[in-house]
Amino acid sequence: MKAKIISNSCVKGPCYKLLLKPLNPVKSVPGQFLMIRPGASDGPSDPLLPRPFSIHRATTDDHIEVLYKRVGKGTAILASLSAEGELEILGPLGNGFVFDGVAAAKEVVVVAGGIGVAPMLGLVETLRAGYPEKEIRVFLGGRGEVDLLCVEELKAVSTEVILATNDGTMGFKGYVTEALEKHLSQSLITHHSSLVTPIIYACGPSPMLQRISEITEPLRIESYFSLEANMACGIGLCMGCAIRSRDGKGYYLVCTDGPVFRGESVDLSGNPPQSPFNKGGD
Amino acid sequence: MKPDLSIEIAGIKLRNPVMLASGTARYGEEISHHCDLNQIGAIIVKGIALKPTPGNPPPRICETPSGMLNAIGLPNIGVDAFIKEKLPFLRQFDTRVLVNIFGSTVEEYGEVAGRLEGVDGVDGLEVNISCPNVKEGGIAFGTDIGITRRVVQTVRRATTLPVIIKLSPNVTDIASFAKVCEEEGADGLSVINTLLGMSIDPKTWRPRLANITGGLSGPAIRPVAIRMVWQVHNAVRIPVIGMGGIVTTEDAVEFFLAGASAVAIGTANFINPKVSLEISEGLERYLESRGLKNITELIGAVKTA
Ligand SMILES: Cc1cc2nc3c(=O)[nH]c(=O)nc-3n(C[C@H](O)[C@H](O)[C@H](O)COP(=O)(O)OP(=O)(O)OC[C@H]3O[C@@H](n4cnc5c(N)ncnc54)[C@H](O)[C@@H]3O)c2cc1C
Ligand SMILES: Cc1cc2nc3c(=O)[nH]c(=O)nc-3n(C[C@H](O)[C@H](O)[C@H](O)COP(=O)(O)O)c2cc1C
Ligand code: FES
Repeated sequence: MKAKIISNSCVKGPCYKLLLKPLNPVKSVPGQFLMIRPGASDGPSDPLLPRPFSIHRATTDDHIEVLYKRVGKGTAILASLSAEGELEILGPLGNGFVFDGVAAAKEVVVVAGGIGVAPMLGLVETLRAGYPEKEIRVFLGGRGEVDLLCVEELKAVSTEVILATNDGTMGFKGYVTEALEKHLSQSLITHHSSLVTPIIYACGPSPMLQRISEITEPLRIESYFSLEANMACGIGLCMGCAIRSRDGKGYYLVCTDGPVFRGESVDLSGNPPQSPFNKGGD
Repeated sequence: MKPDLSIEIAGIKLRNPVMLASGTARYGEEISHHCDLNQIGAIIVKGIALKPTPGNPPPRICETPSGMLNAIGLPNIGVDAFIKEKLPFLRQFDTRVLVNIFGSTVEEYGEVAGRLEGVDGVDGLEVNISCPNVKEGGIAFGTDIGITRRVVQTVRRATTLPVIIKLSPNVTDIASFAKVCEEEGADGLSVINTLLGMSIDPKTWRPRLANITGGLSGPAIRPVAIRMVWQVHNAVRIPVIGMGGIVTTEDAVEFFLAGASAVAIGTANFINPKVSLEISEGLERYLESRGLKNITELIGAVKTA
């Protein structure tokens, strides 16, 4: 489907915000994504494949915002496009976040690392609208201040935003998962008599998500991760976007089974599989 | 009158000569949400083996200049589950279904072919010989001429279905492989499978695929595919299904001119899942604009003299 570029501008450092008006209105839920073809739609062969991007925010007037970081060929082309142009998009794709556990949870904890904040603003806005009384804590992490995005927007719709940077240029100095661990240990002590736990939504680099698993699983905290994988099609055709399942038997496809998964269902360790796996072959 | 795009290949009548290539449309369901399967010539399903296999660890794919590398590792649900769970969906459509089969031993090819014999909704077999031969140290069946002959013999004996052998491009003289397949009773040839490739990340010094090497597809391989279709077309009388980097109508026309009787679209489905419909419509317009009545007028018509 064609989408008109309404605006496309730098937000901070290498990060940009793209505002699109799809030809036909698109109904989406937080956590879903789009495949966007960088450049013209009449078959440029380099870059060849469309790129996956989270729906940052779906506005009430049928516009879609995408928050993206310039990292390679495709995103460099995207960053160079000007308003009034057109893009070829496919979506919304994937499953999106699940809210079943929110009502019963003590609080909602949202953790985002770097550009991983992209799907989280829409998530927090939707949660705030659906559960006006719920405490929502957002943990934003990055290497430095420049990596922390959407801080003001998140503050407007959450109970508290906790910032963490590795270099200490803003907020807590250290990993965002350390700040998270501190918070959880304190809040669990104060509530130790009850079994009510928070619910966690997270998006960011694999090591961050893995660390969150290590922290939350012993505490039996329900967690949802939005995952990334190299993608070619985004719609379940190529089977390229595999992520190992925790039962060790096989794989999920991030594009159609995800991109949002229960934390304990996926193996993010990157360790070689135990079972005798097939080698070679398309 | 509209030009005639229909064609009979290996005894299979096709509405039009545009197929979905194996491994790029799974078992049809996902792509059917984007592309009307009633309007394509045929779907060649993702490779099927005797037993289910999970596929390779990630990363399984990466983009390369005008192409992509993949080492998906042939994840498959096994032939019995395919017949029970996937084929009924495909039977709803007025299209042809070619089942792409593979094995880890020569005998396994025969067994899979045998199970598909007489199954309602299967119009033919496409035999992938580019996968590793477990008994022979993992060398691809299709790069050894003696083993290629044995695979074709084994499948031929196991089935009365049309048998199309999908040739590996990773050989020095593809024409000699084509001739062996024809001698052993193959009804058609698919040309080409992916080219073996590799890509390394200069930042991490690591291969970009967990499997280290992978199959190259997309526009990057088109000139190689065209050359091989032309060589095979000149070497045998059985029909050729041409594939490798087709994205546009003009790309498909190139394959017909080189000697293909039909084409298959692979990687381009990932960019635009409707592309095969657009190409079959494009072919009709192309024939019209040239005053041609029949797609067969293009086959092998390249002017080399
Ligand atoms: C479900 C999902 C949602 C995403 N949402 C966002 C978002 O909202 N904002 C954002 O900035 N980025 C997002 N990404 C990552 C984004 O897709 C990549 O940064 C982008 O594809 C890089 O393209 P490139 O051409 O600039 O880089 P290159 O490195 O030149 O890309 C080459 C190839 O690798 C693939 N690739 C490279 N990095 C990634 C990656 N991290 N994830 C998936 N594929 C990759 C590309 O698709 C392409 O095929 C998301 C990824 C996924 C899977
Ligand atoms: C992701 C992917 C998976 C594939 N899986 C199979 C397969 O299971 N069996 C097979 O015979 N070929 C498989 N192929 C090869 C294609 O069918 C085709 O021969 C090749 O990609 C060249 O065509 P293209 O450049 O149009 O993609 C696969 C290709 C890709 C890119
Ligand atoms: S990206 Fe192709 S199957 Fe997921």
